[in-house]
Amino acid sequence: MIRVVNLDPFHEGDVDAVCKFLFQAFGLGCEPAGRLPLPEEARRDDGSYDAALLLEEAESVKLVADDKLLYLTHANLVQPEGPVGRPPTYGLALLNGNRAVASCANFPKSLEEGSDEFRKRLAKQAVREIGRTWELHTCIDPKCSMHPSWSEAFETHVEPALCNFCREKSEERIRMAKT
Amino acid sequence: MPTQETTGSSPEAEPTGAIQSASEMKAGDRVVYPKQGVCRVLGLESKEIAGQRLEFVSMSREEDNATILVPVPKVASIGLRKVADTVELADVFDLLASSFDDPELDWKVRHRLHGDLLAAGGILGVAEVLKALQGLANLRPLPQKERERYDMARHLLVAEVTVALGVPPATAEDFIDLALLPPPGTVRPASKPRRLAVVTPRPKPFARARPRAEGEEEEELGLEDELGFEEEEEEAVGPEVEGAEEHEGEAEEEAPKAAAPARAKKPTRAKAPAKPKAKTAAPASAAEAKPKAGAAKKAAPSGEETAPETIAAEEAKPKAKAAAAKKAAPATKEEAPKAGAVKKAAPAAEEATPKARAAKKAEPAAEAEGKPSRKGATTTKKAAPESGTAAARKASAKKAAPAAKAAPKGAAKKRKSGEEA
Repeated sequence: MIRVVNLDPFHEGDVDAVCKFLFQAFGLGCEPAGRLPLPEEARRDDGSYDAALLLEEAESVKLVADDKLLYLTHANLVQPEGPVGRPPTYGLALLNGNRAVASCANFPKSLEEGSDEFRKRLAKQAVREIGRTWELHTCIDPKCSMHPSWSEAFETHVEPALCNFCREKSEERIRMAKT
Repeated sequence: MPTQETTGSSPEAEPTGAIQSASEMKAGDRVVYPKQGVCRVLGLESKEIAGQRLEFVSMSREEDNATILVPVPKVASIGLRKVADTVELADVFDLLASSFDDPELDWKVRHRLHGDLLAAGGILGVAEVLKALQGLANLRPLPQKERERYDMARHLLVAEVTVALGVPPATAEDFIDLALLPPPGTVRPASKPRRLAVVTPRPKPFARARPRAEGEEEEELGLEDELGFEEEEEEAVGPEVEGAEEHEGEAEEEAPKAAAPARAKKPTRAKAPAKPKAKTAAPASAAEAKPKAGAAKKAAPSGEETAPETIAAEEAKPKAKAAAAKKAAPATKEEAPKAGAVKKAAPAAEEATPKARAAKKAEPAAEAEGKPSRKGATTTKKAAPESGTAAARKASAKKAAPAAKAAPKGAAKKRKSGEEA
């Protein structure tokens, strides 16, 4: 089961749409699990949030084994600087873990909340982050939701779907799960 | 994708941090097991297996806590290495971020190369596989097996970068993505990476690496007669050796003298793949020279075992050149149509006169070679094309070219099917 928690207020119907697309992508039950506050511990001086710390510090809802928890937020997330710079952060997940966060802070301004395009874009990001919790890696297929979020192809192919390879792998992981 | 070539500032591109013995590992250390990922050393364990007490290094794979037991004498041969340091990581990201993009298009070469790089190329080898497959994916969709390999390379790289940088795995993957697939508008350095992976031959497992004592070579296990290896070899060799039957008596006389070097020359592992090539070796054409050179290259990393073969090959160079030149010359003049067939089937040569003539012409060549024993002759024949220099290959290709043109379709087909085989 995938539980979706919003850390910021979202337009009515956005969270439901994300749940629907997650169900279509993974074939797992998905439901909204209410709203929780953003953890202050993860807040940085410039108003952005440390993504890894947010995942650690955010409150949780009741989960059973193999449940995945997805946080949705408007907050600007950041990651530490790497050897080739700081990656733009659209979300983060614990690889092979049970928590993920997706943010709409870096979405194009043209996407309005409540619109179909916005919902699909948010759902695509959500699919990518939940996929990482099933140990899916970045995909080379530009149409796949596991393609890097900052790529042009991610914006142009709006459907929140997985490629064959990633779908098969996720299905295998889900089958192998404890429950 | 050139793996042997090194560019830029540091030509010494051999994978560093290789663990040579179990004494280099302590409990709690993190090591990288090729194709498995990062493991934590638990310590030494002693176990009794089949009545033998064996020492193992016990390790736990970090991603799933699977326990791995490595026999202590095999530590060096399996390619265990330390987790990459900052210098190596800098090279990895330099490689990933570079615009250097030259995917190998031959799938067989690519498959072998990537397998070697993943097994013995260190973290740079893993990054190179990832980069190469990414480059290939930009040209066309990857087949299933290569897609799996891409995923595996990414998985291994993410695990090692995670440990080396001390960041969450998803962040490590974002770092890799940022280098490999930069956001639109990012300008990549238009240069080749500073370093490329070099696959170094790993030491043989202890059982095979044991040096043989003097005289042991000849004794072996004494099972050759029982298993019929000798007979099989002679049967297989028979049709290939031209003019060797005429010299059988002389060869037998010299056999005791030549036995030791012949055995020393006998390649162990590389022999099996060399056999089918030897059959097609007679028509020395340019097309064949390449794969054989490849075979010779392939044999090279196997280290100790191939060394005698290399010596044999070098000894055989001038002889082989002379023989090839003599064989190619008549074929171009009159016996061009049947030359290929003669070389392929020696028994048939007795019936057909032109073929017999060609066989006779080979006699002086064999005499000039100093009447080698049968085994010696075989070794020479097999080694010759492998050892040929570029100039020799060109020369033999030039000589063989008219023969190839004049040859009838049947012979050409035969030769082609031989090459394919």
